[in-house]
Amino acid sequence: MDALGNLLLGFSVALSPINLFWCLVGVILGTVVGVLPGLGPAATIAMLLPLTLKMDHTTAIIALAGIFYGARYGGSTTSILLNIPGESSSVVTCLDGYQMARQGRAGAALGISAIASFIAGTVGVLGLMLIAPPLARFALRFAPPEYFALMVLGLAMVVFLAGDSMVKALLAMLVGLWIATIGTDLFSAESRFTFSQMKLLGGVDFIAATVGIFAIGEVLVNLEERGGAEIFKLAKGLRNLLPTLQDLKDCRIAFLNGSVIGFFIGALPGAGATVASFLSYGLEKAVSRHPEKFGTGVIEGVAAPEGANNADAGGALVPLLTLGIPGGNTTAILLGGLILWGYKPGPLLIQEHPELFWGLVASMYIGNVLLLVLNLPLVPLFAQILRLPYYVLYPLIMGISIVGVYSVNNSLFDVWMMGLFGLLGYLMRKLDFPAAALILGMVLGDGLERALRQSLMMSQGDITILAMRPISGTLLLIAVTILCLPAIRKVRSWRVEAVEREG
Amino acid sequence: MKLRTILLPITVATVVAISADFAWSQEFKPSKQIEAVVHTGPGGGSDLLARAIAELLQKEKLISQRMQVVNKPGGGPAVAMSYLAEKKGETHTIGFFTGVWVTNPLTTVEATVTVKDLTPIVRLVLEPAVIAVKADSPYKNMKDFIDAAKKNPKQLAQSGGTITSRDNLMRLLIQKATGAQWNFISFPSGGERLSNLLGGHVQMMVIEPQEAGEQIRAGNLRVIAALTEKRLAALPNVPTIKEQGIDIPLIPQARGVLAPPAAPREVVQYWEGVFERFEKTATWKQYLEQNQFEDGFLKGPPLSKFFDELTVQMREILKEAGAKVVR
Amino acid sequence: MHLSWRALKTTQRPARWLAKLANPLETISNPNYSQLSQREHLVIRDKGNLISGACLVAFGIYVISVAAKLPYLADIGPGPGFFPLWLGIGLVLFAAYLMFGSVISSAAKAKSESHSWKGSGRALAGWCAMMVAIALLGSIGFSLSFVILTVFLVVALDRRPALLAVGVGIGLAAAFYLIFVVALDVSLPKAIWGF
Repeated sequence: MDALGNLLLGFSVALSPINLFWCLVGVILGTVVGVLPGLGPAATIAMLLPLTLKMDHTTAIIALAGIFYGARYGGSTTSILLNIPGESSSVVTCLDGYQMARQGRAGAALGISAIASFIAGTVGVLGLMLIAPPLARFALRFAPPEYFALMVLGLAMVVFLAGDSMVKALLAMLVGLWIATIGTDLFSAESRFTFSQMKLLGGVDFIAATVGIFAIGEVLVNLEERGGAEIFKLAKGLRNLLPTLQDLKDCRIAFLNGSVIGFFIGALPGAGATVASFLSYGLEKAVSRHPEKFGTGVIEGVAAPEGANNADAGGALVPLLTLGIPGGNTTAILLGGLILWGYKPGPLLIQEHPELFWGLVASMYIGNVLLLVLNLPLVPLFAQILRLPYYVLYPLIMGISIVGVYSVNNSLFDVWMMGLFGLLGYLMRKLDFPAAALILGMVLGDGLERALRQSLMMSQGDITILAMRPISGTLLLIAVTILCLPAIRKVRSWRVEAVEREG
Repeated sequence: MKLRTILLPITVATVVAISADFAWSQEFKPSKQIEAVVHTGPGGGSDLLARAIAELLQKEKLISQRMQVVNKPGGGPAVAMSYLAEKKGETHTIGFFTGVWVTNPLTTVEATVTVKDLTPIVRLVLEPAVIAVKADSPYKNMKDFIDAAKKNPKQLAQSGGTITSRDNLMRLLIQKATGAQWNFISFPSGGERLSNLLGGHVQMMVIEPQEAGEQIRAGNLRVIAALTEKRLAALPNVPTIKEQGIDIPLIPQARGVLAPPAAPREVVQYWEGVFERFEKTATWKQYLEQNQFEDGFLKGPPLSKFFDELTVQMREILKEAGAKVVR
Repeated sequence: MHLSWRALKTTQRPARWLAKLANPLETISNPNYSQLSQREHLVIRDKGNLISGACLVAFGIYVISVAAKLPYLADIGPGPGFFPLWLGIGLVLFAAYLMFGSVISSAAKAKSESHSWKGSGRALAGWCAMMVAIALLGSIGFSLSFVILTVFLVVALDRRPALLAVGVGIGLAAAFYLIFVVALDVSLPKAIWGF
């Protein structure tokens, strides 16, 4: 009941006209920034920090946080419509979202994305409000072995992203893992696979690679036929442009899944929203009645990852506000902002500045509602983009890709990388190698290798540390089970066949 | 006709040359937006410092044009330094350096630009560091930790950055001076380093007092040594490492401003002037206090000497650390 | 494996198989693509698998060769060479399996149609045009390179009137400029004439 009292305090702060206004500004700006590929909330927040000096501090954090979680709403738009990931965490949404768009269900995809984001975002705020301190303490128990187990679990998702050929999925994943090794090794400061290019010392830019593989690859595939491939049909009528009741029912589990996984992964410093969305997608596929349909345009395949990356925003604020530990880039800037305004982020922040924390929490409830109200009506509007003739659409996609990738680091090198990955994406499509598996390898490769080496450094070379610790042991067990599932399924089907033959 | 067609361009050219020369010998004043290059992405240490300084400079009206922070991350400082070097001749670009700008080219072949190639303007800050352990650990001072490390060689662990970072280099120096040995586990972000210490997965870390401040106040961390010459004002009860009997060279984490190669005298003087006035302002002093930085203002020949000495010192230490030194 | 060998003996004869694999033109450029037999689809797919498998084996060997030069073990735990080495080995093994599977695949496994490579020339032309445009970004700026790229895509690949292409190109380039450079203060590659 203490929480309720504090929440009321928070709402009294958040509902003031100034704070409402800046909350609205923040979430709108966040949505715009999220929609545009390349431009991210981190850069935007950093640019706006000086402006915030003139504001009341609570107002400032409300506005900046609005940009942060608002961007997670917008990221799915170009992922669904154009196969261009708007944010790195929206990569997974491309898998099923774009396929839904091709089948004329862009509206439903965009709509469910907004709804899932709303539900998960609200759950995230609930979590932040209710269990932030104990969750933060629990998250501290996650050491490198636990991170390793989490990454292995993520890679076990390859099993679920396999499609027809397991070998090809594994090969794609291995290539993705290799791409992740490009750059300076964290531990030994040796450069690996940099081809003497200074620009590769930091590794391949993730946005450049994913935009290349998904967006450019898709355009190239469509360029094959003169007159473009049969382009998107668009459902007529407003009702058909939004998710149906059946869709909402189908996504019941996805909403829960995305919320819980996203929030939890967000609370782990270092794990990112992209990891959360992959894990959520994989889990959704695992518990689905029709896992083989994932990747062809299944609505849960949009709801789960989109929910996850929104809940992740709430989760990322847990270590920031309860311990003063930033989990990722954007929270690092928020931390910088807090320091700039004279706060001392740490375990005592909530106690000493309750109006800041609770005002923020209350504003996030409001912000999520605002975002839902803003985004849903925009769905039919955005979906009209697909009405463009393909000879406008393809140059448009190429243009957005180039601009988006360039804007990340102002780097032409990144644009070149995007071009190369575009060719790779095209070839992979033609040869039936699943791009999702490659991206999964890229996302998890870094974390996997790092966690393994850190774990072995912790245990002085004793590898059993990975299985001995309770949390990591459990996660690894689940991962092994998942990896064995196709074999188990095969054995089962042999048995069934054998029975049928005899009977 | 023909004479005029020759004379006219010559006259114009001469006038332009003279006026350019005239402008050249005048004081430099920025006439368009200033680019401030940092080697981290948005939110990184250098980025936040540059944005704060840009804001404060504009607030104090010490610069007439807007200062725009340009993020050039990649390979540590390599991409940013290379970008700055490419801007040779450009008078409206500066770069914010940290210690890693000196050390990174020493160990990375692909990082072809060194601090000697760039023009030093001013050193602004020295970031002190302290050694912190978990508050409920049995180590009350350096001696406790060193003894424990000696009793269990290679069992204790420290979280830190890369092996060429200050964290590890300090560890190697202390190990050499005391004979103790403990492990070093690299984490890419400060958040993870701290969370692993708080979670008890590592036993100590080198941390900036500002980062540690709140954890100390909340009773989660204990600082057992200050890696500075004198005790820190904010932590008067924490003895320095020298006071505890471990005499090692202290690697400063310096931050300051550099300009592209061969920057003209007027530009250097302009910036020196700006930052000299800036250093005296109350807002800067307040910023230093807020972040627990030390004022490390240095310019001109002593600054160049600082870079040279630091480079030599770093090269020595890195070689001893077993890192591959390529320059 | 066991099943595949049996299938091979009963359904295909190696000689004919290899002949088909060796003569791709006949199958790939077949205008009646949709009327190709299942076997012919298999051939295309298997040839694709064979070549991509071979490329990946070569790539895996390259990765191993580079990784071998890096330290395998560090003070404690794996060194920088550990992970890439095993990645390379995995690549070689799985790619070899892929190649093997492509030569011995059974007719029963043809689940889906293979992809036609018929239009790949156009796609690659489009890709080359994009790479040229990227190369030009630094010198003639984004807007102009984009217009040129659009014109190429629309005229050369789509055979639409040039005027339409130029119109679309300029319209989109202007939109990009307004949204990104003016409204959002994002800098795009520009030439000496400022855009």
